[in-house]
Order: sequence, then structure tokens, then C-alpha cells
Amino acid sequence: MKSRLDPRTTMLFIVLTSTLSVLAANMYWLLLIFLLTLVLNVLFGLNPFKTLYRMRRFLSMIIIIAFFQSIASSGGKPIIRLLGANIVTSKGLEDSLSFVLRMGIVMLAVLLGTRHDSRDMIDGLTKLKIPYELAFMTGIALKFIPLFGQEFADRIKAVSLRGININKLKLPKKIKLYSYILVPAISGSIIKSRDIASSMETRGFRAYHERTSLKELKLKLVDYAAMTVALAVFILIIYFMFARR
Amino acid sequence: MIELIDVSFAYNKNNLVLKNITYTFNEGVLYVLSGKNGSGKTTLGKLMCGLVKTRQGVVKVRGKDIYKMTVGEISEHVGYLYQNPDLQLFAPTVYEELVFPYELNGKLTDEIKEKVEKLLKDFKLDDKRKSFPLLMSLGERQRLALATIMMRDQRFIIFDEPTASIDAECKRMIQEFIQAFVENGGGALVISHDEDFDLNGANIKSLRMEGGVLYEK
Repeated sequence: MKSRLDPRTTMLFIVLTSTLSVLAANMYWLLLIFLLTLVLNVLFGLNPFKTLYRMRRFLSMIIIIAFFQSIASSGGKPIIRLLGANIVTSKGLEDSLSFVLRMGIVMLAVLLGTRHDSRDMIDGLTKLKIPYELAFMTGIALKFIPLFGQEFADRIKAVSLRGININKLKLPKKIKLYSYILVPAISGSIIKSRDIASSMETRGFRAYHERTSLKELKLKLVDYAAMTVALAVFILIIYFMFARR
Repeated sequence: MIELIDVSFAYNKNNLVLKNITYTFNEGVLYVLSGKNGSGKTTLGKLMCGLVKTRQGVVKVRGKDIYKMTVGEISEHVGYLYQNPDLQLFAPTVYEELVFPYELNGKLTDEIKEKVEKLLKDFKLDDKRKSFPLLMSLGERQRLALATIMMRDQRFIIFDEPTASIDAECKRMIQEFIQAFVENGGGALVISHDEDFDLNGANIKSLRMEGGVLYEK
């Protein structure tokens, strides 16, 4: 089911939540913004847990980075000590949790955009005076992310067919294998994008200066109401975050 | 031997791609599977080598239920040639393409190197050994993909549209290879739209897939 909101309203939600995630200075604010974004996802009819499960490989990468960040950050009270050295400190732990929450907010915010057709998102961007070519390219790029993921998964399976058990390989060999998989995946994407560009040009893309659109986007009352609420919440959070310090 | 016992498969709940298929594929026999686009031919091939799995029915490779096996374990016995050879080419050179699984698994022996040399000659890729596979012609890429499969000594190979979009000479070469493979006791399933797929011999069985159901012609 697609969102009833105008894509520009959704874009505002994405921008506001992502901005807050960058501005939030501590873990507690980030946790609040994360929960708010989670509620937004539910209101948009998304099942964020299902999506996060599908993105578990990406999430595990974030957790690994967070783990190293917690080790690298010093300061605060020591939590884990080894041979007289502080391995994990309260500051390190807070930094790493903040990182995980920040990434989580951005991922959940971007998910909101999936409730619209890429076509509507492109129209929304052009209404915001973004050049059509740029908006179109962004739309196409977003559409290709899952395809790229699928192609990568297919290549992993093709590697398994050659008798390689990736899980059993040691790290240096694993890195070598991933470099083998990435090169054709990237070159395949470049070839694909070149073909799409040629195909678009042969179909008259940018041949005319003026463009018309089959569907005209119009902001409705529900959009104005949603934008007002979103901006009010944003300003309130900013106020409590900074003015009351 | 690959056994399919009452196998059904669906990519989504409402649309069964394969319906209650029971069939046994033996070694030493060449099966040619035809059918319209979307009839389930490729899905059947992928199911037989574990690239997709189902709980509706049982697929057995040499008596073992493949649901409990990894793709790597299944690939000891069953090979799969993709319709698009680019999906199974990874390495920066043709030579490395053939040796890298052995290198990674720490099993690159002199015997393997000899086998690589033989395959390079057999598939007329000897002068291409330093070429970047993805920049070669489609026919050469298809031959290389086939050579990578031959490195494994599998007893059953599934060929998904092996001769689509390649020139007549390469097509003939692949057909001869498949025939020789079966004559030497291997089993093969060739998925093909190609009316010109000209194979001769006693041990050929023609199959047809229609609406997810498998028929013997």
C-alpha cells in the first residue's frame, strides 16, 4: 500500500529526522529520535523490524564498527579492563551506541521514501526545483540498490557452486574473495548504467526543453497538517536540545 | 542421480511455479527441457542444485536430501551453468578464474594446474589466459564458465540456455562437449528454447515444462 501523503511531505520527514540524528549530542536524545522515527514507520504502514531483519548483514557491519569505536574511544569510567588497560569505557560504549542509533535513524528515515513510487519521488524533487535530470538519476539509482544487492547475493551463490565455503575462509582469503566478487559486480553496474543512458537518449530523454507530467502533484490538507506537526516537533526538540542546556 | 519427489515451489504464496513434480534424473542420460518463458524451467534447474530450496516435497542428490546440504556440498555432485555466464566469472584473468577456488581452499596442486592447462586447450582459451574474462566475447565467456564447471568433476550438470546468443561455431563446440560428457557417463539437463539444439544419441530424453508441470515428451 502506498502512502497517501505527497512525496514532498515524506521528504520533509526524512530531512527532519536525519537532521535531528546529526544534531543530537547525546545517546538519550538519539534514543528519543530513534523511537519517533520508529513510530513514523509504523504510521506509514511499514514493518521496520521486518526490513531491519532483511538488512541484517548491513546491521552486523554497523555493530562491528560500533564495537571498534567503543574500544578506540577513551574517557569515562572503565567497564572492561585487560592487563591494566581500559578496553571498554563508559564513554566508548556511549559513543558506539550513539553511532548505532544514528545509523538506525537514517535507515528508518530512508525507509519512509519506499512508500512512494520512484516516479512520484522524482516528481516531488522536481517540484522542489531540483533539476529533472538530477532527480531522475537519483530515482534510478535508488531503484537499482535492491537489484545490485540481488546481483551480489547471486554471485555469492555462484561462488558457493565453485566449492568455496565463505564462512570457513580466513580473513585475508575472505577479503580476496570479496574483491573478486565486487569487481565484476561494480563493472556490471557500470555497463548496465551505460546501457540505460544510451537507451534513454534513444527514447528522447532531454530532447525537449519543456517537460510535461502525466500526474500533477498537489499538496493536500493532510500534507499541510503533517508538515506543521513535523516542524513543530522538530523545533521543540531543537529547543530542548540546545536552548535549555 | 537427482530425485524429485512431489516437489512444488512458489516465489510468492499465490503463484506456484512448480507443481507436484516427481521425476528421477539419472547419470549417463541427456535430458533436454523445453517450455515457454516463465514455465518454471530455470526454477527447476536451480532447485536441483540447491540455488533455491523448498520444503514442499523432497529433492535428493545421490540419496541425500539437499534441504540439509549447503550449495557448496551439493556442488560436489551437481554443476550449474548460468544463462548469463558473467554471473559465474570473478577473477581478473582467465587462468586465475580456473585456479582461484583451489587457491582459496589451499588445494592448488600440480595435478590441478595440469587440468587447467588441458581445459584451456580443450576450450580454445589458451591464448586468452591473461585476458580479463568480462571483456571477452560472449562465446568465450560461456566457454570459460563451462571450463570452470569442468574443473569440479561433477557427475551431473545443469545447462541453462547454454547456446543462447552465441555464434554457430561456439554452439557446436558446446553441443559436442555436452554429448561427450554424457557418453562418458555424466548426466546433463539442458534447458533450452533453441529449436536448433541438435543433439544425437540413444540416451536422450525430451522433457517439456508447461504451467509448472513436467512432462516427458
